[in-house]
Amino acid sequence: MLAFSSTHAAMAAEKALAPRFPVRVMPTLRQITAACGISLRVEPPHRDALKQALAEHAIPPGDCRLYEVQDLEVTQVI
Amino acid sequence: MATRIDAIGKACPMPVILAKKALDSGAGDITVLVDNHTAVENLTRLAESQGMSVNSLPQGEHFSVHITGERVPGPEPEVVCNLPTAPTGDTFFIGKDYVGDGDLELGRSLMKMFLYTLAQSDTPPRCLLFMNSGVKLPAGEEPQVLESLNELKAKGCEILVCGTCLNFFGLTEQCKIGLVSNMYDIVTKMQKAGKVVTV
Repeated sequence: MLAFSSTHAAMAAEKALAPRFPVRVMPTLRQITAACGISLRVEPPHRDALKQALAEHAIPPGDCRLYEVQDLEVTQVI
Repeated sequence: MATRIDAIGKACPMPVILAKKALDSGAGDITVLVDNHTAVENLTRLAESQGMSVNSLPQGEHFSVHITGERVPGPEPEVVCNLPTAPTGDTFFIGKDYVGDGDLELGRSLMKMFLYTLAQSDTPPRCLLFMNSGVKLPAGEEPQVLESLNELKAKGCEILVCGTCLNFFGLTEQCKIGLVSNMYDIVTKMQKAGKVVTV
């Protein structure tokens, strides 16, 4: 799950990532403190593609944080 | 000769059994009146399995399922009676394809997120009513929206889509989920709802 520093960053990220792999817009989980209530959900099979996109700066670095969510456990990855 | 079967109030699988009996006796033009979506779906599967045309229309609180055509007997489908019962949640009226006013793009994102959250909820709404530009959601191409609506439907949420509005937007053929409905049915759903939430 990607959480964002601002709503504009979240919406821009959705546009940038959606053509590359499926993303779903979801509310930011309550366990996460983020400036923006919009997060993007990416399923595990697309994890590598997402990391690749982040490495290529498809989203401006610093705009987002990447979390892994399993059941109710949330771990920050980036 | 047209055969009319009144299966209102009859528990599953009776509507299908009665329709099958009529087909077996040679009827090729059958109208079955039923009072629930499960019966409509079972009758539709039966008709399709027999190579016949099927058309269902809401009639007040009931549904009329019209089966016609030349029967090509095929394996009969399994009758499903244990579909989830309708949830006890509220009725949501969705009169536009975005949430709130101010920025359209943000509003559309919020609507996607709203439907996603609703679909994830343990207490899904009893009914979703789509009117005006709200019909662009079930008739649109946005995969996340359709996925959420499908999940809601699978949880027993009824989805009614305004036929007049679909027609206005030229989307009559594009409605992918929900029952194409009319003002009478939509108002009845509102009147019978414990609470109607306008989105």
